[in-house]
Amino acid sequence: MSPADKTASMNKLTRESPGFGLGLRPAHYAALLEQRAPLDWLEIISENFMVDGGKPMAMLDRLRADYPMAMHGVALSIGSDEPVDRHYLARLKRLAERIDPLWISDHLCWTGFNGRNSHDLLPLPYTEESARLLVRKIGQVQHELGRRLVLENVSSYLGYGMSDATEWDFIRAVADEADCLLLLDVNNIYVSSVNHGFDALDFLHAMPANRIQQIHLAGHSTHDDHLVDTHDHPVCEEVWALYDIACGMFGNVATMIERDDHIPELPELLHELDRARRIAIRAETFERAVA
Amino acid sequence: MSALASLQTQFIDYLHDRPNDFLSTLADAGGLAKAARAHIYFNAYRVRLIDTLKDSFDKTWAWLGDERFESTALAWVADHPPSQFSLRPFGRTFADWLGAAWPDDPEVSELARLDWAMRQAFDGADAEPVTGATLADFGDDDWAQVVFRLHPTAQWLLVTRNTLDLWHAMDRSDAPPQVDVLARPGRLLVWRKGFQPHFRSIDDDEAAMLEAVASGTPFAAACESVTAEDARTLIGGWLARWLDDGLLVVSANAP
Repeated sequence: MSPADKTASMNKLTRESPGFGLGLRPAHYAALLEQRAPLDWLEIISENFMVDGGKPMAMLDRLRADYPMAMHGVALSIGSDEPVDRHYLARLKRLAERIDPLWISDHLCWTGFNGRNSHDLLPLPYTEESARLLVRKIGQVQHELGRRLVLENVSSYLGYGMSDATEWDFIRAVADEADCLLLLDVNNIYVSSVNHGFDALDFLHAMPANRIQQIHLAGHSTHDDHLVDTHDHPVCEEVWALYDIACGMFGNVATMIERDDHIPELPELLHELDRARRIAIRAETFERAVA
Repeated sequence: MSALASLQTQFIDYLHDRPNDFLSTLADAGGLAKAARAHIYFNAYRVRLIDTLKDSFDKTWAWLGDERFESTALAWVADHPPSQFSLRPFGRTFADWLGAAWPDDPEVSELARLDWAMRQAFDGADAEPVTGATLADFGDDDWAQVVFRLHPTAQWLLVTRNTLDLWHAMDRSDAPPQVDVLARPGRLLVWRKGFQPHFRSIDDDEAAMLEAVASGTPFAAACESVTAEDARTLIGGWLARWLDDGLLVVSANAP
């Protein structure tokens, strides 16, 4: 950890790490209900619980009684050049009132514009104009929710000619200016570093340690000349290595593994999560030893 | 229009395969060509929407097979791009569209309506069903006044083909029977019991009484509208089944 980062970590804006978690997926409802799993918290996809009732809401309430939960959204579209969707925000707020989440996250991206939704996490151009828009809209959402928003870096496959900053400088500037928190997706950093040909360490080094509330780990699929963020494989060795470095830089950060396809049995994911615990504990021990 | 709004318009036009200048907005980054990079999003958009329709219309998908379902779904997506933040309503008009697209094969749209109704029932609103124990405490005055409602997920569908048989055969992974025209159109009731969506066929008399109950007619008045000779026996049988199905809920002005 650089001296600057150490200073920043003393001014942490994040809440204390609850530990290690997994994404709540219907495939694991039965296993989670059967017995308490060695999980410190669960992350839910917010939109999956913006329904009126039935099994999803019943499972949410039952499992919330056993685990703290973080809300992770995919539809805020904070980067669309249009006003925040008030209807969406109202539903997000209602869900937050129901489960009292650890925090509320979404993505630093846009998903649709002018009534046309891509249902994808589309990259923004890294420009002054985008930054100004984000700062304004993040401020509105934070005011409405009464808490700091946690925003995640997305993986991307293309860049824009109009961008005049790197992704990492852009994120840092927006986070500082908007006074929001960050969800660092280490797999997304790796996927984008391969797809765009940058050094993932440059990205990590630029991140403000005092704003990193959560870390995502995930797997991706490998194509001939690019990677796709599919969440359908175990975490790869390169991402574990980056996580190891991130733990050394950012200290004890809440970490979870995302798996959305080819979802294995719960014990297999818990085993994978154990590796994250070991890496984090080793990094913490090392930090203490050199401190 | 801001530069960002213009770029976002171009990107969505590109995804929708409408005239656009999106590729000219991209940076040359080495490695993959601009068109190949953009195509990852173009492809992902279609795969995601087709997968959503497969998930919501799984028996329709099984009936049509991969190739026919995918080409049909792609044609529908082209004319009905998603506009809501949630994918849950995506597919709401697909069954009607299938009816127009396959006019000689109404079983396709009937299967799709059933798929959609089941999907809506799955996470539709909750309500506490009336139980036999509740009714056991009813006095004569209660029976005279009580107004039931149907579970909020309940809805009727009309079928003209042996769509139910097709559905059940595919659910068992059996070879589906031949499509038959029903002697007269039948009604299907779809609702959720506990966490599980259900459906069954109902005859006209039961449907008429259920419709009366659903519209807020007091139960006693709804009973009087049944003119069959064995009305008491019929109603007793229906009521027992409705209770077992978790179909009745007490309305706000119930005793």
